[in-house]
Amino acid sequence: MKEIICITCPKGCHLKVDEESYAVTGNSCPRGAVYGANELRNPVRVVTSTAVVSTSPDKGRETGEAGGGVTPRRLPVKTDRPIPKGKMFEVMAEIAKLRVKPPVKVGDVLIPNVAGTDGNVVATKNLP
Amino acid sequence: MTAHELVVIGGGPAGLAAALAAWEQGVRDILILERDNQAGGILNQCIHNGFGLHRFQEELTGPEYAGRFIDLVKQTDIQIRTDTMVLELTEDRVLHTVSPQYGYETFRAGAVILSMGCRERTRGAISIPGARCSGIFTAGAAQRFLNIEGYMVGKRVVILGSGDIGLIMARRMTLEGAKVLACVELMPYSGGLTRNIVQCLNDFDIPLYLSHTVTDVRGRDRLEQVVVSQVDEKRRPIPGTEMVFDCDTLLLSVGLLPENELSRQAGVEIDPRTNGPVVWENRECSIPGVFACGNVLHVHDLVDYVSAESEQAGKAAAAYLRGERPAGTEIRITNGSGVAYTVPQHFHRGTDAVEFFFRVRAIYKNAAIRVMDGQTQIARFKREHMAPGEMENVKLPKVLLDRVQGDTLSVEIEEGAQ
Amino acid sequence: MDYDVVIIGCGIVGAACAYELAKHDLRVCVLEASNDVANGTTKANSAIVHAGFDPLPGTKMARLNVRGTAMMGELCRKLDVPYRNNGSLVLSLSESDDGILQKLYAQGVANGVPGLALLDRTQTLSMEPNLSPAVRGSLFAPSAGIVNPWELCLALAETAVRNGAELRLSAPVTAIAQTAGGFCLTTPNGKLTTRYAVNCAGVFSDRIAVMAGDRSFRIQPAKGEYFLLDKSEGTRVDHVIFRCPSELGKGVLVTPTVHGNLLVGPNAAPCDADDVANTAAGMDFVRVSAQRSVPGINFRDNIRNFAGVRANSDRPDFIIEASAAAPGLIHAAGIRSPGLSAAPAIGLEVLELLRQAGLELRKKETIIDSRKRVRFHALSDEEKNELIRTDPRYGRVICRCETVTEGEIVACLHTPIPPVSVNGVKRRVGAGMGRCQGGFCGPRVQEIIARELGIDPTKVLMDWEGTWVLSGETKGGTAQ
Repeated sequence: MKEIICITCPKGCHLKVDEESYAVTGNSCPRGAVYGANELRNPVRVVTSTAVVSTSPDKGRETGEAGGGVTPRRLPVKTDRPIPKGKMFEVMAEIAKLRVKPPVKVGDVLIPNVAGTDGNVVATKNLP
Repeated sequence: MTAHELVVIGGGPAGLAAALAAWEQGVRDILILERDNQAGGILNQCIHNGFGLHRFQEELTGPEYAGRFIDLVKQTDIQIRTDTMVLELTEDRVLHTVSPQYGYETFRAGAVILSMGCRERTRGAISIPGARCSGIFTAGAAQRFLNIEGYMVGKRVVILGSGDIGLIMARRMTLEGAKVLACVELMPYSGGLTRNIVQCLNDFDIPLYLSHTVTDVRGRDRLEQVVVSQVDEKRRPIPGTEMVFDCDTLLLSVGLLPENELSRQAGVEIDPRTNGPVVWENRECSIPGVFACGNVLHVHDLVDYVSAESEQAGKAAAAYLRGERPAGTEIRITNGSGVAYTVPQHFHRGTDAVEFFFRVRAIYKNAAIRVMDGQTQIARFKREHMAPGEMENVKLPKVLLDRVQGDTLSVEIEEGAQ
Repeated sequence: MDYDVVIIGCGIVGAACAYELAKHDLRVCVLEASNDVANGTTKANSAIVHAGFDPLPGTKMARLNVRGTAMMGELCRKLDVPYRNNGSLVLSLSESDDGILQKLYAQGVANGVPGLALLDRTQTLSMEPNLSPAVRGSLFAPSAGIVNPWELCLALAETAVRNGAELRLSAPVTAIAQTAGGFCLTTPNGKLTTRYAVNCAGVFSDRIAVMAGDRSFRIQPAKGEYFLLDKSEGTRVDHVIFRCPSELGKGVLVTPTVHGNLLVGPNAAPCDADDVANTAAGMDFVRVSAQRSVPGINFRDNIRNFAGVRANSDRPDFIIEASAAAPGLIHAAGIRSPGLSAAPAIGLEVLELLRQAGLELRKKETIIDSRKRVRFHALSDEEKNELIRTDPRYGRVICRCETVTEGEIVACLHTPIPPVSVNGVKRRVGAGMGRCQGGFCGPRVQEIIARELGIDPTKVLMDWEGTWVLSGETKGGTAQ
């Protein structure tokens, strides 16, 4: 039996899930049973992170602007769908290698099929 | 001095939504003043997802959520001035500002929307004893370093407070290679959303110590150790329960405070319970023509509610500019047992439906929210679960409001309701 | 000989000595162990300019306190240091306190303190309505005031440097050898020779004395803890409010600061010389004690705690004298309260002791004796506009709590004693001193320091050596 907390609603039921049959107890609604089973069978998460922007790091300094200057040093990114929980650090390692050249638009694919997960790493902010 | 119909102080999610709502209502001369070098406010550094489930029925990151509103504003003639700090707001709605581009300026506004957001409580606010070493950050400052500037603030981390920013930072620091040793919470329950406890702590086997606090901080130069002790029911540390963590970083996620220095200066009445302005149902403050929304009014846990509230303020500002004034006598809301605060704090008799937002003082299971007109129950809403970390809201339709006889309504929690 | 005089330590006492010495035709060097001036007792104390009724008549403390306090207003005006002559009240809360007030009054008169007056309950409460209703009367000292101690130290040191004195930071003295006609001092960056040396090493001054073979006194460090409250509490009292002194010291005081905050403290507890940690017991004591004189203080509006270490010694008076064991070494040691008030006079006293020891003092023909810095928030609207036109960086507010602009931060990074840390910037321009305690502006100040000094942001410190802030860059950047 694996004990997990349901996050389907704010109530936070403490579920007990059987590792073999995926039977769920402790849930107070049917959505809890679905969540509990999925969470054991194939837990998935969206990974969010930042990518290095590969302009001169001194660009902001030349313009005399505080707060990153015209070009920010980092671009926020995410996986465009939930990826297997066990692959999170592998995905992070891929994102760490990324060097993004502006311009970039929200949703632009930066790494397709990241770490073989079928998910893509996409930009979550415009970078002019 | 230049004049504008509507001036919005703060270009975060609240200010953007309020300005857009006013625009949709026909206000054509709107100026948003933003102190940072970009609009979007704190969402720019909240790169995690989970925003917009109510509003857009999808999970967006902070920058994406802000981006949608910024794109909408760009389609209008709403003016956004970045890098512009409001130094003073007067009672007759004159704003004094400063910016590198335009210098020192004054504006006269037909209506003003306060949407300055909030700030974090610091080590000083809770008087954590111990060394004056480096390595102690508010979670939001560490988040800015990490997500905007691209720097790590340390490698071995303890987090005090289980507010959402602290939980989110536990995951962020872990994913970036730091070791997060513990999350320590003074109260017997977490201050953050359950979803964040699961996805930010449990996913990475980070222990959450409830009813514990930091009782000493050690390190001559950089932080070296944090001492954590269990607390009794009066929140006093229990001697003999000390745990020592070897770490170089302590992140504080110990509460947010609405930033109302400008409001106070202008003479806006502040509610000591929310630390935000006292508002009517249309989010108008004690000074006519001044409206407040978002975290400057009360600290929200979901940005979706910020947007909704801000649209209300924007619409009301537009109505004010059209010369409409709410009629009806005042009905005040008082906080009954179990309720920490309510927003709005009062409303006009005869108004349309009013939605009350509030926070409860403790965790309740199978309880009910009762709205009382003296001894008469006006409405009752059952809730299976309520917690101080999660904002509650109830909506009273006009038909119920019209039944109110007295001049105060009380919102209270009924325990053990079946 | 490299120098005529080397001053060891650049706290308020060392800076005052340097300021006076640099007015003369001398080769002067100041050695400071820390990476900034004012980084010990000077930055963590009550920031009070005492009237001078506490020290026993006839002591150096009495004489130099009254003299220093009399100099303070003009000195701060010249050097652009925030100072306010708001006066002080010592409260009587009991019958025995009444007797102590009488004694302090007599002592003050003997010390030459101007304008002292014993006030009754009504007079006292009309001056300070938020005092405890238990107050029976008070001793009013109109010459007392409040000052920004670290800016005073900085202003004195900066002026000394502009007048030709040399300042070496991160230069602790590790050994002292007597040579023919002077001393050879060892620092981590090499040795230097000097005819005279002045020991202004604060809590470490006994260790400096021992290095020179002088064991005539010992420092007994004592810690004092404080609360610094938000400006919303800054008008709770207008004067410096003291309790009656006891064997434990002057007791917990409540005072506005020159920045408009409320300062409450200190307690007194023996400690190590470098122990500036806050303790739960110490903070509780201060909180309870302060509320006995000013009951309404809202400690929920606290923005910072800190602790300072007093350089108390095993002697009852300041130790300002020529060393008997090491001729040519002048001590300015054991400078406890009222050391800040006395500091301007201590500078003159040390000058006189050096003259008596044979140092020739010839005034320079021209000296700089003024200083001015931009305080954006205090400018008029027109001045603000004019300044932004010349330099747009004055239009960018970095610290929103205290309204400190990028222009001010950049300017302080190019002064004669540029800061190398976030707190160094804070002490110079106030960025990060407000209610958010640098939560918002810290990262931006960090970046401006790196940009202006041409160093990597990860090398910018919070304060003294070792107080690193950033461990490295994300995504394979440089590691700490």
